[in-house]
Amino acid sequence: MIVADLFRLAGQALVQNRRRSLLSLVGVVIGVVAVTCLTAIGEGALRYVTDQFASLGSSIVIIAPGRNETTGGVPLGVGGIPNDLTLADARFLGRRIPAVRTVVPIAASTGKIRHGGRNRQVPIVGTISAFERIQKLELASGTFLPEIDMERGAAIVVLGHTVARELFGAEAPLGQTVRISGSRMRVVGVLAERGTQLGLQIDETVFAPVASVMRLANKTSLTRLMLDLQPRAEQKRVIAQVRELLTARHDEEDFTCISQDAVMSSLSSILRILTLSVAGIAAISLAVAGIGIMNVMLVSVSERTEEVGLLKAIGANRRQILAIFLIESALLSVAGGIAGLVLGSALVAVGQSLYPAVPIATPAWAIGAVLALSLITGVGFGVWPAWRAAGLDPVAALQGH
Amino acid sequence: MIRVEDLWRTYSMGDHELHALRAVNEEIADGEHVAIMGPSGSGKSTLLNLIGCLDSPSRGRYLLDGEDVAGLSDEALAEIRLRRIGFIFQSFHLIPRLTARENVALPLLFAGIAPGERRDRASHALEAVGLADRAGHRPSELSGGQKQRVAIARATIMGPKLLLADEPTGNLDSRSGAQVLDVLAALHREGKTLLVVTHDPAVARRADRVLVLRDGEIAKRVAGDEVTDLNRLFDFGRAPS
Repeated sequence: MIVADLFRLAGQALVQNRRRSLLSLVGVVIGVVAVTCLTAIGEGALRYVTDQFASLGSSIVIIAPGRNETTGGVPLGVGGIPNDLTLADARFLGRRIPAVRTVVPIAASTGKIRHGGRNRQVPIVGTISAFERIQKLELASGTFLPEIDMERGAAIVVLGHTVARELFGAEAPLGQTVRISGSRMRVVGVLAERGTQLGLQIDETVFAPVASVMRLANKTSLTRLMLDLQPRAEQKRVIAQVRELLTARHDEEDFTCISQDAVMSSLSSILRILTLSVAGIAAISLAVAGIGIMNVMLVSVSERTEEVGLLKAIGANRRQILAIFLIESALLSVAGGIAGLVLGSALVAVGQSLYPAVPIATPAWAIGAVLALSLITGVGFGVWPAWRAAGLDPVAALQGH
Repeated sequence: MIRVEDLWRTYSMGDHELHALRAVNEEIADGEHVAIMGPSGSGKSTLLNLIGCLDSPSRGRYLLDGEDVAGLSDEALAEIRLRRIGFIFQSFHLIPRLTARENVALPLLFAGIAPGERRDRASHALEAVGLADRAGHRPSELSGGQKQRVAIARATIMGPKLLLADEPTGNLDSRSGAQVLDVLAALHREGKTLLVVTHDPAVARRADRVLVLRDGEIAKRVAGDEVTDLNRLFDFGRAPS
């Protein structure tokens, strides 16, 4: 028997029962649309996060004060109060680890910034000029912080886009003086609009030399040290070196050292698991659709009992009858799968145009999986009805029993 | 050649057994035209189904061209039905969504014959039963007599030696019935063995021999031209001839 003939026979049978075939398709379509859209959203989130990290450049190792075990908190009484992470530590690590190109200290604080009659509570980030490079900042006007020794303060600030607009309006901020927590500082630069980036509202932040911010906020410890590595430097080795050197210097491991790669990969794997589990839940609806197909095929077999009897009488064997009905249910489910993919892709396209910021897209693996799954559903749930048809007694079947 | 020896077909009906056929012995030579008659429930169709390899005997032997069919697998029986036997039914059993030509070509499809050849052979077979102009019509667009001739074309498409017809004119008016019988007679003249189950004396009269069944046994064997009316034929008061 020729395979193309089987498909034609099956197709003709499905077309004859158009309405019933279409109704059983709907179940598969809904399942496939659900899988397509949900994986698209998951993939979108994953790409969004990956893009954000990529924009930072990934060869960065971050050191934070405090031993941050997997539990997340600093257990009181166990690690004790951590030593400060100081500018001296920054100098020390920069000197001792050759793979580090620049150590960028960060002291984060908040404060009130004032100009004329307006004032605003803002995040203040103390850092050095290299921060501009590693964060790929762009300036709307002026310059970023100048290259001065990190221990030296200077009464200068760089304003985020929103801060500048709100304080100065149409005025040009460059060269003007603002007051931050009472200290007068001169504006040397304004950043271009950037948007939120991994939780840091750069547009609403004010940047100043790290020593000045520590003095203003009366801080002894830095918030972070960012180690900008040489190209091709091995992050794992650098982390090991930091651990060894800094533990010896502090007499205990009272800091946390992670690479940006590690953060990204754990974030990605969380998102991936989330996507998979949501897709799995959606796939359950495909199983329900499979039962619908089975029901339709059982009705079809009992309606066509006489036909099966005839096919047997004119010489069709069990395998051929089995194949006819299996192909029928497989065609149903694959047609549903394709229709679902088309509809799902259309919905994803609508979503893309509504929320262009999140790059939602159905991943290729999901398309393959959903088609394979609908085929398996059709064949799997078609086996029993087809088996019943193939096992009919020809004499009884011809009489319609 | 068909030979059945001590053929039984028994159905178990709960606590008792129903013998649809009991101890039937018969031999039908190649090229014979035999009619099977008998009252309802006498076992006519059961015998035809057994000979057609649609059913298996409970006991006894069935030799088709010298080969014992009783022990064959499902698959082998399907192969025999495909290549060596053609069935014609009272209710035609055409598939409604297929055209006349596609219905006729169905057995070729199960035999794995390529579409081009199928089309040619099916067209040919339809021509032979006088329906060349109906090839593209669906069964619902055909008259009863035309449907039965399509079914005959389907039964003969694989070139079987043996044709089995179960009440082939039962659903037809006398004119189209006669047409169908003419087609069957022509096939018989070509050398096919023809076995016809019928209630109709006019159909039986065309046969060489008539087997009359009663309660699952062959009660009488008469020549076709001896059949006059059913009352006399089914009068079993006398001893079977």
